[in-house]
Amino acid sequence: MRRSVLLRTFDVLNVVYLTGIALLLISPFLLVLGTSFSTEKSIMLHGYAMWPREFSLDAYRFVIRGGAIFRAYGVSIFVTFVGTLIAVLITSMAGYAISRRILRYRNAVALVFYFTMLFNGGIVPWYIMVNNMGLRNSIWVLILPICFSPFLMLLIRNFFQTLPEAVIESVKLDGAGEMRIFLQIILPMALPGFATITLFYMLSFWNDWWLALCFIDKEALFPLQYLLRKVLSSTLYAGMGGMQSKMNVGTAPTESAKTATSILTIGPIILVYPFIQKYFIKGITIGAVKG
Amino acid sequence: MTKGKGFSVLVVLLTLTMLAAFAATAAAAPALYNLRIMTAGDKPPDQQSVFDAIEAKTRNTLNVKITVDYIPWGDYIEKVRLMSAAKEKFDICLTFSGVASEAFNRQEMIPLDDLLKQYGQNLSKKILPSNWVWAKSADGKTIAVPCQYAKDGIYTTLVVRKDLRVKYKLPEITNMDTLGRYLDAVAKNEPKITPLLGGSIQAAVVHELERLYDPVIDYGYQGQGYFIGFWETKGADACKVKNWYADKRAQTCNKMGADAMNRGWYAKDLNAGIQGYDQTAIASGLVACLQMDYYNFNTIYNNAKQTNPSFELEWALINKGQPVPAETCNNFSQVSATSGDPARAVMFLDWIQASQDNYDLWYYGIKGKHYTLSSKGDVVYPAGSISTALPYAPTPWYFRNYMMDRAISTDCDMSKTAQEYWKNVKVLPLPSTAAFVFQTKDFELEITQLNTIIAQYWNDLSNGVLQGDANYQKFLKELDNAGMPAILAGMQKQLDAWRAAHK
Repeated sequence: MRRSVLLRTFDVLNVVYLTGIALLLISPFLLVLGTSFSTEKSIMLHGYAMWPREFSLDAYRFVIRGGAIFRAYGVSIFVTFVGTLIAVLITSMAGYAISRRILRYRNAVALVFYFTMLFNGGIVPWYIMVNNMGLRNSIWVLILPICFSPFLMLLIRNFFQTLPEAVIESVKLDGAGEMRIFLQIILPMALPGFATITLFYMLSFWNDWWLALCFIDKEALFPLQYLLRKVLSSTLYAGMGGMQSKMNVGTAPTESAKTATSILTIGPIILVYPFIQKYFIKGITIGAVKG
Repeated sequence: MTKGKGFSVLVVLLTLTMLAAFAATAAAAPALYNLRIMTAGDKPPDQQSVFDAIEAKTRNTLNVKITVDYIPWGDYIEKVRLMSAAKEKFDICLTFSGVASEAFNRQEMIPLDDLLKQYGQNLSKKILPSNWVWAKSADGKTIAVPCQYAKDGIYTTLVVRKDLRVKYKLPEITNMDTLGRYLDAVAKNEPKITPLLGGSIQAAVVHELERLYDPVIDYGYQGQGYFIGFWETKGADACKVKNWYADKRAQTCNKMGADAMNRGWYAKDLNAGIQGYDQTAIASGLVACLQMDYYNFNTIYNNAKQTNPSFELEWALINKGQPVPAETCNNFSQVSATSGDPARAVMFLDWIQASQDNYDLWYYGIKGKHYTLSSKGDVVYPAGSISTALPYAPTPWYFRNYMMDRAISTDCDMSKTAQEYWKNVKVLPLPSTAAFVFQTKDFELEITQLNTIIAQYWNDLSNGVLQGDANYQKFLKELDNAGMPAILAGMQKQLDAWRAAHK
């Protein structure tokens, strides 16, 4: 059936309008990207620009000097990968267990989890406890303290509760054990839920710098975010009258270094979004509606 | 006694003397101590070689194994607070005005009076008494070791375009008259250039007020907090607490701000335009003069040379040569209550300032390896060094003494000139009442209200955006309504009691 001219015009306008909105949304990112490839001189003279007036890789050379950033990338990738794996496993198993009606006192157990979202011992006891566990200056200190989120556990529990109980019962009649049910039946059915908490955990591990600030002194264990935070902090400090700025021994590209830092930080994790965004939105909405 | 026997006795005596001396030295050397220092910034890549050199040099005196933990600037205070609350062991930390007294009041840091008497002779000798005033607790205990940096160097100097001054055949800027002539010439002849970066007149005002009136001991900063003060002059006015904003000093400040605005020195829309300490404004050719911190002279000079090589910059100080009052010290080192050996911590701080050699080693690194000295005594870094990636460049803000600082060979001229000037400028001694600390806990509400009103009015009043007596009177009335009289009375009461106790 041929569509009317009016409808086709509407489609064209829609595409133009949405493309415009998309370009508007992406423009700050392009501005940061363009500036990161600009010389300090052109930034000072003309400000930030999407297209560099004078192309330069100085900012990237400055940020990655010494090669520490590659090691930090390695640490962050390991922490994100292993941390997310552990976190998703623990969280989903806990969520699955308390979503099952056969578990006695499941509401009381859920309340215990929920309680920790409202009240906690405070940062000082937490700091002392993690230190006393002997995790300081170990890669595991970047994973274990944040590898379980009660919020995400409750989110995925809500998701599990939307799955039909009859499926589980019928599989059970066929002789499947709890682990088999969880891994072979629940997991494929709950992909949107898993994708959601996976993304949340990935972002949380990837973006974390606080744990490194508190517990890591060894440079070899600095994750990317913490390392770049240090770089950013020192370039800012250099511009605030620090000793380095008292020394006129070569100028660091401070403005472009800030933007190059942003680009390097978001690089890998931004690639994850397109693959799981369809699950992500579904997971959030289902979890939210079925309380 | 035969000649041979006499010689043998002499040898035995000498040997015994040497052994005794060795034993005494060995006994005097304290046990090795792991000294941990917390500071903000970036760890210098070649730090360990400096520590090794210091440890070797001081084995028989300090005998410390040094560790310095570097924390990003933005997180530093929070991290040290957390460590202190968790009773984590460290010895010395960089700290700041306000933060130091809070940590001391929480008993996270220790008083230093006795330790300084015993182990801090060099610190006491080399740091001016005016700096120690800011390192005292309310009850007069020394809670920190202050840094000593260039008086008045922080944002009260001006940087101007020398090439423009020469172009219009104007004399060097040394006072309000020469500054005015320069800014007028730019306003008249350079339509694309704003003569003065917004707010920068304050760098001139500070020195003009010092010339016109007696120094004031003030509490709070303009635009950043309530601002009241008292004047330790002779006569009826002695130590009378007053509202600074109602004083002739504030009125002069407003008059100068209005003058700057009316003579076209500022951008027309001051609040919408660039202002404050935008270092790029002069380098990019947007302004002809701005207030500046002399520690940033090299940065601003580099920026200008990079963007517009024809620009020439110079340092201008209003009323250059007049003695300057001692100003607030903001950077200190403190000794932690968790230190395993506070005496050793103070000994170490003292050691840094004990000699120029020690200071150079701690601040600039190993001579011949990290730097060399020019014939003028300037530090020369290896060619191609980048300021933020020197092999050894520790954060200096917990031990810095500008009297012992060296110029860097590549420093721009205005930086070297300013450094030399501040080393030799006469600093007026602080009156004894400067040690008085106003206890604000009963006035928190009033202070919050005052700060809101000050933030609303003062920037505009002092820069000529708001002019006329009606606006000024309205501002004063609102301050009074917000509780200024109560604060003045409370402070006067505390000051009188303090003076009676410290006669």
